[in-house]
Amino acid sequence: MTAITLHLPDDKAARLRARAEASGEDPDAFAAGFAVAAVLRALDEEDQEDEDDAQLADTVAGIRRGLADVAAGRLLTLDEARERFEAGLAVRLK
Amino acid sequence: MTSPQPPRAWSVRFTPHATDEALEAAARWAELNAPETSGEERQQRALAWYAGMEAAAGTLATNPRRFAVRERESRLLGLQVHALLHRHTAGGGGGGAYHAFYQVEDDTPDVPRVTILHVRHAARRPLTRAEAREIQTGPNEP
Repeated sequence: MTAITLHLPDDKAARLRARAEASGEDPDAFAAGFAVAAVLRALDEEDQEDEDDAQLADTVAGIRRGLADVAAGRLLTLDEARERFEAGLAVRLK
Repeated sequence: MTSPQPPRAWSVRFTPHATDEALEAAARWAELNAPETSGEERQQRALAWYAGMEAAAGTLATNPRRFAVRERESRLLGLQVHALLHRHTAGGGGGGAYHAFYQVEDDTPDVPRVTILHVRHAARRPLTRAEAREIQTGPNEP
């Protein structure tokens, strides 16, 4: 278990205490719950940012592979692309 | 008096890379949504998926800039990339949403061109290290 100390400006501490008292909860436990929730939310946001960055990098890498085809003159008309798709599908889902 | 200009048209091209990604997306979609069906049935479903993607790509021949520029990808690549959003809903099952990333070129030697560069599931995320390790070594024993 990790202990968390909560530092709040006086006005916010007073509001938190009032809210705890209104709900009939122990102010310290109430504040600790808020602190944990805030920390978890911050960690979730950090994870989401990491995932977004990884997804962006993955997308950009995929686009670069497409651009390499363009640079090499490897372009397919819609008919040619469909033929390639159908031939590949016959192998992929045989 | 001038005659009205014919509507401008762009030729639409797929890269082999994007075609192969579309193939994998369609095959996976067919497998996930119809696991109990025969291989032939799954092929038909995958073909229907692709027909939808192809039709959506074909509409880029007119007004290809109606899909927004993807700012972050474009900034990293140093060129403007758009993304078409394709939702496959035919044939039952959750169709999912797929992005086709494409480039619009007006100054090609022959006709203006739209090139589909990359196809991916709209919610796809890269493998985590743990997932990659699991693929390499097999699932962990409980």
